[in-house]
Amino acid sequence: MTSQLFVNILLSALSLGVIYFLLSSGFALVFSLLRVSNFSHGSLIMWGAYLGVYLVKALSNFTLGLVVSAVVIGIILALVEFFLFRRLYGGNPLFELLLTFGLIYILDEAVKLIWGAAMITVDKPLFLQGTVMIYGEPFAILRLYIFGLGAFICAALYFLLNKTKLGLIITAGIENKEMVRALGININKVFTFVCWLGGFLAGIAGFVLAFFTGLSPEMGTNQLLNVLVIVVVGGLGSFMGAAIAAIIMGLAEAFLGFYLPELAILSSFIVMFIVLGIKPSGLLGEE
Amino acid sequence: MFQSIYLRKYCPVCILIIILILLPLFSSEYVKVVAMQIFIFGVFAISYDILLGYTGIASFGHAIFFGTGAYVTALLMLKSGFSFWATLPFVVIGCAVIGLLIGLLTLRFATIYFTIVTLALGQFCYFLLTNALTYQYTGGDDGLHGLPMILQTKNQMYYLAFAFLLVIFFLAKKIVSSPLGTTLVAIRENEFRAKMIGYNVLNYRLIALVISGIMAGLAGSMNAAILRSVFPGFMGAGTTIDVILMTILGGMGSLLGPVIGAALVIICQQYLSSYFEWWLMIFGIIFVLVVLFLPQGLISIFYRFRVKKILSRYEIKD
Repeated sequence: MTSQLFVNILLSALSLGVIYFLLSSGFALVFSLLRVSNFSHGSLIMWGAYLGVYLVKALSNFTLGLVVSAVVIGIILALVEFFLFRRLYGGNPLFELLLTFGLIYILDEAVKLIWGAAMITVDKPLFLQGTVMIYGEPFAILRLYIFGLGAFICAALYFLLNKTKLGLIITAGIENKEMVRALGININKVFTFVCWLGGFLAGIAGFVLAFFTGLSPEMGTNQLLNVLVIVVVGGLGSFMGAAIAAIIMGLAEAFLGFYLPELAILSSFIVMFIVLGIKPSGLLGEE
Repeated sequence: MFQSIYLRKYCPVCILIIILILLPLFSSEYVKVVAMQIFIFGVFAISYDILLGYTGIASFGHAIFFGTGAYVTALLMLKSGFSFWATLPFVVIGCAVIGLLIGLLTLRFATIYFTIVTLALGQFCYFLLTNALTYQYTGGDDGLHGLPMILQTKNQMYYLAFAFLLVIFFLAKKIVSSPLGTTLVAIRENEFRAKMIGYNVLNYRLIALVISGIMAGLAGSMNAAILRSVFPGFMGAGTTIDVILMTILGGMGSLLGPVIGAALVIICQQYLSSYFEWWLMIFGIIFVLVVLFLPQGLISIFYRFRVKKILSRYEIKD
């Protein structure tokens, strides 16, 4: 294997990892605070893709369309939290899981009603077309853009969680909700905000995903398993763990796909069994 | 007085059984096929309910057992020339072993881990079935076809499937009202307390998983015998999702509930889907409403109503 080829695979592996990070970050965030495993995350990703592509066309502005659609997706999840999750806190966590499972049907069918069930291809905007030469190999600008977006979001979330007062409340809430309540902080508002943020991240991830898979009603639920595996490997409740796991998944999939193409589709399971076999709570999960 | 209560309790069930026994005499072939599917999936949903409703662990990979049963039966019948009945011991042993493996691998995780890992395992098994490496045995996406008939007529098959449902139903009833069943409920209600009393929680969950797996496997092999073919979809996420819908809608924690749920889901799939394109959305809304307001499922409406009626009838007189 030449070093040129190696660098090329490494770069696509990393960009795959960044996409996985974008896909799973919202889920990991919502789970870490609310302990709700939001199975409808995949459907929100799909909604982000459809709405983002539609709004970019309608507003004829790339960044504005992306942000507006992500904000709207966030509002959807915030409303779900406000009206539905809130009724179930403190009960059996099973019901929250089943509730989000039912939401998949509603969200997926709504997309089919509005945009139809057929697959739609997505054209990249002009400034994301073409390639640049890296180390003598062509590399798509779109992937570079995704690197930038992933790095920006990771940094922004890191800043939010570690350097702001809100982040302090969220981190404290992850540790001990009752104590945060006892200190006079309305944690329910924080819950709603975190859900909004989770939906926002899902919206952005969906829009990015649309360039690779096109628009189809199954695009989100197809990614749900990857998201779940990444979050479990990273350690449920650990946001940074999910980021690391996403990169590992990307690396495993790209390199396994190069050496053993038959097993590429199983790469995420292989990683999961290895990691959980060694550390059942995941990479950075608490015991 | 108590005899009278029992009579009232079982009267509707008896009428239902008689109607179902007489059904093949005046129904079309299609109705019979749908009814047989309801019986098979009723068994599958009962097996899932033992896991979800009584033991309180949510597996999202229950179709593994269903698919295993179907494929073991189909492979043994087609490749080795076994009769259907001779394959059943292999189904039981195979599903028990898989249940033990999955349980030992995943039950030590907390609930939500178990759910996600079983979901991944289910997909893993589905990929194994449709993989190019196993194509020559499993037929890949096409599945296996042309299983020999196990009985001569459709009517006999119908009665076999019906008897299968009744047998499993009473078996499951025996299990959940045995000391084992009540221990499972105790673990569901308060795992910590059950542990403190001295029950080995992990072992009991393992037993529940194995029992439920065997029942699901038998349902799968029965399905293979009735359809005379098997498809990788038996092991796919779609089958698991169906069984979850059936159990939740019908009512988990009761054995009749999942059967009613199975009937509801299959009838909707067969009839409603041709009228509404978006019937799944209605299904989703009903599902969410049931989870929010009727966690014990649709059957709890019936139970509430009946308990009130019986109480008002006798308590006032006494």
